[in-house]
Amino acid sequence: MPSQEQISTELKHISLLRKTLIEKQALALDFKGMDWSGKLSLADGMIETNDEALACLKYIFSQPIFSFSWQPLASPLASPLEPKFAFYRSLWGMEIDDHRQTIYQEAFSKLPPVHVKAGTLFRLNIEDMNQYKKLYHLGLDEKGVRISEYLDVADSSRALYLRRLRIVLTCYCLGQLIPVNNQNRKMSMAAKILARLRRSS
Amino acid sequence: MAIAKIIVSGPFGSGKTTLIKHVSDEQFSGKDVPTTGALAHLKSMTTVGLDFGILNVDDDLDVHLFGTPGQSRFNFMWNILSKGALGGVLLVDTASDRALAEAQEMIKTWGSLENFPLVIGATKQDVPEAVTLDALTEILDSKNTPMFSVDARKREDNRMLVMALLQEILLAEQGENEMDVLDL
Repeated sequence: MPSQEQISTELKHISLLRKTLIEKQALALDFKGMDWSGKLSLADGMIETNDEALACLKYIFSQPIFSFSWQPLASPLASPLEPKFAFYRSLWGMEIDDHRQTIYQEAFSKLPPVHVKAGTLFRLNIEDMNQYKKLYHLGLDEKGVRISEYLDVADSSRALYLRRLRIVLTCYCLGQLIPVNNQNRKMSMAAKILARLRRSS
Repeated sequence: MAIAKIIVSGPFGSGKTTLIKHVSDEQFSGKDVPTTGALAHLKSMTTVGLDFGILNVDDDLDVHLFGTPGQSRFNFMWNILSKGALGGVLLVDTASDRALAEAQEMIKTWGSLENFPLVIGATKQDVPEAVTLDALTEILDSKNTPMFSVDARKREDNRMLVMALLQEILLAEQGENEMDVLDL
């Protein structure tokens, strides 16, 4: 079982990627793995797209990254691509080993319940779209959904697990997972209607 | 008693009547009459006037769901109906070129309204001729509008669309600056 420190170390670069995308910073991110290194350029919430960038994305989600750094981006992106498309092209077909799977399971089980912000996701086939809708639907619950519950599929359904993991990673990095706000506040009109629809579901 | 409005729109035959039926406690259907003219071969009966449903939330709040007639000659009603509405659901038959062209015009009209959140329900995605969600996004120029494939015959899909609209409104109210909470 990996320690919390190990999990944090191995996934910190994904938090950085998320932050850079959501805050639309202009940064060049450098990643180094065991026998591999790669670079991603990001600006205005977009990703510089080319074969190297897509390979880099696949690597940083599927393999341990031993070090990473960032610096301000000197020039604008030559061929910016919306990250949802870059993620689709890189994550679909991604392999995950057992160690990586454990790391993700542990990390996502620590997250608070979330609502899922709807968006036009990516070029999903119908099976993946159904899994995305499953996550979205679970997130409509007043108490939100725990990602660990969504990822908790039977051991024999590895294909299903990977399908869900790719959706979670994409939603996470695009800022579509919103922690449930537990504060007591006066319910707005929309909140009242939503609560009523939830009760009658 | 406060009244909130939600608009359900979409081209002819997109499933508006069904959606309102599945979400409302009380439904008052517009008058269904035989379809005439060029659209008659597509659907035998169509709604004229309004589809209208009421969702009783509590003692203080009712939601009125207004379905706009699908035929383009009634387009003038959108601006009237949208006044004071929380937002709208746009249903689009993705297997019909005619419906796609009409939806393009509808979303332009709605896009011009301020503070009018919208979600799109893409129907008939199981039909081989249907355009993909990506293509629909391009056609409607709606990359920032939430979009779901839905089966208009399924109660759960219809309710989810309305719930999605409401959740989008709420999440926008909440703000999203809780970055650290979700750091891995």
